[in-house]
Amino acid sequence: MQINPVIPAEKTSTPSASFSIALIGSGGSGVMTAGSLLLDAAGHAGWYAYMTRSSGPQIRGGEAAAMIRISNTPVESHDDRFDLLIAIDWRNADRFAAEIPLDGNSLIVADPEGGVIPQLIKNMGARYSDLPMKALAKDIAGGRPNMVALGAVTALIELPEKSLLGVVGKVLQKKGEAAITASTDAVRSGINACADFPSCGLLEPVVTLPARRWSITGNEAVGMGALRGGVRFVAAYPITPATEVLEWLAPALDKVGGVLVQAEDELSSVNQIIGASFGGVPSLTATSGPGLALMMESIGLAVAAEVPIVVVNVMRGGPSTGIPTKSEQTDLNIALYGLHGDAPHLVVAPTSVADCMFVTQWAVQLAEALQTPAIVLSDQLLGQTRAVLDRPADLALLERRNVATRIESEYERYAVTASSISPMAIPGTAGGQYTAGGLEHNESGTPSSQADDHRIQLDKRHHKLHGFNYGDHWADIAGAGEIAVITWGSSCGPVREALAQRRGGGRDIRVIAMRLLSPEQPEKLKAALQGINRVLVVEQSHSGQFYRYLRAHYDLPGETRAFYRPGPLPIRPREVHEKLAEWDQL
Amino acid sequence: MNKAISSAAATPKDYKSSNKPVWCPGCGDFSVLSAITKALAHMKLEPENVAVVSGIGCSSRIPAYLNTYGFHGLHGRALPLATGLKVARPDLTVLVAGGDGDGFSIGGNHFLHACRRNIDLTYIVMDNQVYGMTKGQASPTTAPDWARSKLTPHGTGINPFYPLVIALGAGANFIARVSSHDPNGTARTLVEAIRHPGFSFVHVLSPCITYQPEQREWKKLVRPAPVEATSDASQAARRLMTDDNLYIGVLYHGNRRTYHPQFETTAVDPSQLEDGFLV
Amino acid sequence: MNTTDKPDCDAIHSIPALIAYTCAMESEAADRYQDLADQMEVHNNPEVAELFRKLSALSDQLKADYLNSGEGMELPQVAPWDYRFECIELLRTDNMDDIHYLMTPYHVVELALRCKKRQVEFLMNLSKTRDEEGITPVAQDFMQQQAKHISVLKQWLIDYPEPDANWQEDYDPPTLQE
Repeated sequence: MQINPVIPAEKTSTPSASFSIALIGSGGSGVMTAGSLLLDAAGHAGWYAYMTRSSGPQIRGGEAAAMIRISNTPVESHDDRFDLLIAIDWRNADRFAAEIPLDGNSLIVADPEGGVIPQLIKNMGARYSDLPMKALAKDIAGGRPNMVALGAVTALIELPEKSLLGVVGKVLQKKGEAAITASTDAVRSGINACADFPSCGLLEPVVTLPARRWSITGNEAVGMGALRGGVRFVAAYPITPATEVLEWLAPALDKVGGVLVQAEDELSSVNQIIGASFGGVPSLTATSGPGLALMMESIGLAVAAEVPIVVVNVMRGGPSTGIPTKSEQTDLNIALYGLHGDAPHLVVAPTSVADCMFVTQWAVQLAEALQTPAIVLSDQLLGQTRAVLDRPADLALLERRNVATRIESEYERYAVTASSISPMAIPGTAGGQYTAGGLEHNESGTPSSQADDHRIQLDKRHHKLHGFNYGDHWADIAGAGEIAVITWGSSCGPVREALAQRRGGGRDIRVIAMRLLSPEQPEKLKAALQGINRVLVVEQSHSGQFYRYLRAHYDLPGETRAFYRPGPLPIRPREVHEKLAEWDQL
Repeated sequence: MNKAISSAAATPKDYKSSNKPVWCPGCGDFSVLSAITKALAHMKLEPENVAVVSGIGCSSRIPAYLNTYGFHGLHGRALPLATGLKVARPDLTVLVAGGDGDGFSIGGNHFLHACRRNIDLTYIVMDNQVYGMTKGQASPTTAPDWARSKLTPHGTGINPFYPLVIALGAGANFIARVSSHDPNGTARTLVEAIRHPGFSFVHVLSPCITYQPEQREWKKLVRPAPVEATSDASQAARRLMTDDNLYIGVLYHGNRRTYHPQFETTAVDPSQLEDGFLV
Repeated sequence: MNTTDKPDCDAIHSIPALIAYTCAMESEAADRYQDLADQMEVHNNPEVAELFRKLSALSDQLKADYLNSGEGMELPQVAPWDYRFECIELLRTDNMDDIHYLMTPYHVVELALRCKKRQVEFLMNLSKTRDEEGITPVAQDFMQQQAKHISVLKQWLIDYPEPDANWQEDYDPPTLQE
């Protein structure tokens, strides 16, 4: 085989903390599978990892890219550049150019039979080597180019061979010995073929093998959090990119004694969970922007009737059908303000893949305790990213539904109490019979159009949420200094990464990663902004929804700047870094 | 309003709440309310173990008039609400109530899938061929030449729905029509419907005195269907071809597959699922 | 079950059956009068509501009297739909022909009298055709009870004025609710 380096080989001597690899290919070349195997292998070897995937619109056979970052410390974001790009072929690969930034230190390894390198990628100035993956694979019975590619990666980053082969063996167990042998041989073939390749960097070796670590996506973490919170009924209507939440929950619910029902549309799924919750079972559904829009009337019903439900909204590019496979943070407005009438409810948002588990559990338990709907705003970048991370800590959450068990005299479902939370009679409880509904009502639940009843119930539903003590979970706050960055959702990852890049240079920065968006916590933010005179707001939207939300409900000190841009490209740490650097000079 | 009673000695009156219905005197829904209380009393069901779920409309007000648990939900969404409740609480007897607009217009899609899913519910539709609560518009069962609505002053010009045909085609397991002028007959059919497994659809001809006063003629026009109920869907389908919407009786009591997802009793703790994520 | 049900009088062949039937009928009548009273109260026709309540009480009293005559007997248990109660057909709460939210006391009494008339006819029919079961004297006794009530009602009819020609007129159109 021919090796055609564009630039003479040079071994890099300094290992780095993280290494980013992109694998691209099309027509069933198995790039997605290769990416998953690589992630798991890195995890086995003791590293942390972070993987996103992109593809063309075809259901099968389309162009695909897997982007993996491997590191010695937990990662919550992609880097600003990729060290290595392996291309099994170049068909329609210009689609991915903007997502795979390369520079002069990067290395491209491509199959010479895979077509012409797109000009956009060529212009990035990376070094180049041929690797005839298809030809090498053909030499092996049952061999596949993606396994050759994995072998190449293994050699280039000095990933322990046994880690990769261990993972391959496990995944292909069901397909039999022949498949495992073929893949092993193909991997080794790739390793050998790259023996003399130019180096593109090394990862710092793993020092101590951390204890329990997980390979998990945000969507799976949401499911796990739901079950930990007590959810045992789920109604499901599929929508990208939320479907995996429901698919993970279906068999999991079976095991924990719950049930999932597939609905005919989102109107049905949200009403089913209201019915099940009315019956006493904590319930949840998951959807994305278009589905959440359909559910608005029904979420309002849950507010008025004081029935706890959780709606997970995995945000995607909008508006309307938008960009279903890409991320954006633009359903904030509808989550906060989409209900007609004055309808206080909970809106929470996880700040990382791991945080998806905690925040969903928290949302379930808050909804149950406050007898109200909770919307969990995840997004495609959190939901469909797979990460190797430390097992999230257990947090004891005490909130539970206040159930009326012994009914003494005339039961009043919506009785005013000190906390504004009324004990809820569950069907089957003698003497507790009442009719729930969306009409305004008096304390007994009888429909009423009277001024004082409306005022009493509005005050109650408002105070129920605003008078509750949410503790410290409302935001994740780190760092000190005079500049604060306020952000939320998947923007937290690149913000934190940008701050890590500043270590040792520039002013101190405080990061406020908000989790609780409704009800607003102005007092808490005020305390968090003590000593801060400059605020940078970071979010992924075209109209600055989060920035305007902050301006509407909070006092922001001194000078406030906002950095916001829409999807589909994820926010890079460098973009945040540059905004902060502007202030360093002042 | 919410008293616990000993169902062993229950009378129909014990199932009525203290709320007085606001339906116009002469409304057919009074009969249905009476029939439901008679059916529940006859079956000796504890009121706390019965839930009545409704949508929006005059007939959807019925849960408040009963001493059972109730949910007065959104327009057209009673069936999914009831579905979630019944799946979560299979121990409860769940009745669903509403009108022709609520059930066949905005609720049409859910009606199809509730019949298809065939969960153990009893759906009582009080059909008066009009939207009464919003002042008299045509509904999916209104005749095409009915010209008294301001929205459709020349009539809709559209053929009406045939609810029994749709129910049979979509998969309901029990299908009957009753007339509100016979509350006792209605009560008897309701007992049968509740007892029959799967989705039971009871179509009630229930006149509206305010917007369709000529429906007073229904009690003279309705007559018992000249055949016995059948378990054969194709036979039921053939009979429907000669149905003029005025035949009373049970059309179909089938043996179609019912959907009853089970909550497992041997459940593991969620923490046991974590091993699935371990690297 | 889809065939025409037989008239009630065919099913009554013993005194206990007669008592069970008439008690059930008066009980049903009492319930219906009560429901009608509630409807009229909700629709702001208090005089008529009050009158329906009185009629309900009268039916309760009749039922008590009938039960007394049946003291010591074992009465058959019958499901509600096994009776047809044609006599009190007019008291159905959805009787669009006779029930109206603007009805007057005169209408109420007149309606009650029409029911009573049918009840008396029913009892008369039984007394003539069921002699061999020993029902006749009981039926005739019950007719006497009814007769007492009828004279009360006839007096009421004299007391209440006849309704005028446009008693149904309501200048307000129906209102929107939800």
